[in-house]
Amino acid sequence: MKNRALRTVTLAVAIASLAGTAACGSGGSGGSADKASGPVTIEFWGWAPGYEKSVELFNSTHPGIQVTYSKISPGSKGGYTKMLSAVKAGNAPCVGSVGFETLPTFAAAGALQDATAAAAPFAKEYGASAFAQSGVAGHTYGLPVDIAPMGLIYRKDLFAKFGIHEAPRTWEEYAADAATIHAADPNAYIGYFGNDAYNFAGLAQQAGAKWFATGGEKWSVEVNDAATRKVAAFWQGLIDKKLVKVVPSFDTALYKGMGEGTILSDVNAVWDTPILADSVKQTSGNWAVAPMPVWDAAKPASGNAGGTPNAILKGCAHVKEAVEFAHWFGTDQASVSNLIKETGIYPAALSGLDNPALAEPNPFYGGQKIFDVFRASAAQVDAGFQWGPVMTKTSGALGDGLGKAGAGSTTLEAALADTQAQTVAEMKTQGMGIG
Amino acid sequence: MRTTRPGGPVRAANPAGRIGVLAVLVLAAAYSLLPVWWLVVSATKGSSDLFSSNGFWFAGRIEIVHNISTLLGVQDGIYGRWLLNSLLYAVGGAAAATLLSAMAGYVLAKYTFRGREAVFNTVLGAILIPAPLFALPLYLMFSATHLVNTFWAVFIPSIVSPFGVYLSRIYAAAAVPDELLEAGRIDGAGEFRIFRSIALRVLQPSLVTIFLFQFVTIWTNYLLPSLMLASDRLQPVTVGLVAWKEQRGQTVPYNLIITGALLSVVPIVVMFLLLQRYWKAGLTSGSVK
Repeated sequence: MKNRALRTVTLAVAIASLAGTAACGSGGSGGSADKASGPVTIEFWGWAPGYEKSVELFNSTHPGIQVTYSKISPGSKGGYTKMLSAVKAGNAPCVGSVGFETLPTFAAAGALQDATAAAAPFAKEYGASAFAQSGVAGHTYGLPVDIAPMGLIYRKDLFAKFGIHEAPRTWEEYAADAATIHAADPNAYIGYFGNDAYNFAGLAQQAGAKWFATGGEKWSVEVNDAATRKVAAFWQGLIDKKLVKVVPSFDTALYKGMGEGTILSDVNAVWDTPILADSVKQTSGNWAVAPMPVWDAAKPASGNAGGTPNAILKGCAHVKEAVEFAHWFGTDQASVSNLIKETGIYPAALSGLDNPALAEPNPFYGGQKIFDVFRASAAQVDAGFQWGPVMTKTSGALGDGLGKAGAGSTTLEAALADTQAQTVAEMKTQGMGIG
Repeated sequence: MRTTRPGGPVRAANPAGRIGVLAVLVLAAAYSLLPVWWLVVSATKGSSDLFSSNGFWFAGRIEIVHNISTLLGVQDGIYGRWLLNSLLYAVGGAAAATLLSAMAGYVLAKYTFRGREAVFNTVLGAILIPAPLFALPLYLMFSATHLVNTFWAVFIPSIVSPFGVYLSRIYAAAAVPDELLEAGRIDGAGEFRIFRSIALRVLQPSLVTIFLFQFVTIWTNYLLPSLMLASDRLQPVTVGLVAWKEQRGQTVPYNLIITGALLSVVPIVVMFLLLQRYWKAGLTSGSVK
């Protein structure tokens, strides 16, 4: 009797494993076809909309290289974990979307393939900052697709209503205008203080911060350097005087305030312009974009918040072809036009800056050619800024600290010190040398 | 439970205490229902009203029908595909998990064999480990067997439910009397037949519970499918919605994403409504005996 029951279980197990084998036969489509002669097959993982169309374009014009594109989860939502585990499992794609901020983390994890030699001839076709950030410590790991220069997006009509006819050019003017606006209408604020770590990093970068650097085998970490502390002190002052609204970044409360006309501006990256346009449609035509306020009007500088290269992942058997594809993806006119239209990228390629799609007047921004502002901004981004090797930890700690400082339960200076400590501790845990 | 007074139900001794309990319950209800209310209200708004109107009340025209039809058309109707995928993973996975759990729990409860407690304790231990911890090892395993990026990569892990095994064993031990099985054996029924025609009937309430739990678990799972699947045609609705949300309204406007989130909850609600009759009956049936 018992034996019969056992036999039933055995049978069930056998059937289950058979089903597994069958699936193995029919579903295992990856990576077996590219050994024969024929075209080289390259796998590419990304998530931005419109990427698939550029891949199609590439495949139709490059019979020798065929790219299979897979749309995976966004990087911070599992996409990066997926790439890292695929590298570990030995079935990673050749090319993956890895943001500037995450690239050093991937490099530290040994998940990237050195493509320095293959990429070097293309360097001059990109902005210096974008190309530099596609690598770490002299090694190039990919080619950039887009960058994210920052600007000041503001309500032109309401600024004028409060007697401000020109957007603030310096942070000093920004603070003065903040006081003017808030004094005239206690419900109105010039801008807001959010909790987006990368936005804050862009502000620090503008001030000349150098958070991370590599020298030989060692990293140096200075998330709370003098330049960053200057930025922190500035915003802490505005928060203390209640001259900026404290709301979480990209929150409904933010867009509600912007739609109602109580939050009048946003210092943000180029990719924020369509988001804002979509979020507060009812105020269309009243917005404009100006260069982000600077610290020293004589030496204007700008910041970058975002941007993504196509990185070559470890285990790629066709590095040369992969680099060729990555370069084509971000420089070919048809591809770049598609990416501007579908993804809303701001091209990293110098030739991309002449793309006609960037010269169109934007009705939401009162018919302004807003990309002119960002083009000037891009040219003023410091090429020497380097992201760290444990950015998930760093940005998590910083974002947390920004939120708490905004709420008044800590100060920005303390938040920076805490971020510094957590970053260093995490790097030590991972066995990285800190010099 | 017995009432002490013949005339009425049990009453708390202290009215102030009762009000306190009531207040806590009302707060708890509001806490869990407010986000749902927000979701329902927001799904009726057009994209310009979404950020400009009160989050907890309707604004302007009720756009929900328009939102749904736009949502189903966006990106060649990929959302419908995601819903279908989710249904396939969740219904199929939960059904298989329920059957496997019932079989395992029944065997553990009704047969004595060497190592039975060891097996059961291992299963119990597995309940304590959060499922996301398994995702990465599973990925590495499935990579080696070339199952990654197939339907099976998400389906196979879904048919395992340690909690289901545990529940089945407890329930089978309590609800399936040995006499019933003996009677079946005397009548000449095989062990599998006894399981199928007698035990499964008696176990039904616990099966519904396991099915519901597993259904919800699979439906809301994010990490496993996001790791296993590279093709967005295979993704369940959770992974798809997060991908849209992360693009911050650039491709699919926020109001459609919210409508998508609302629609994605509907199958869970439907499942609960359909099954709660059996479920409730099962939970209370033992108590009056």
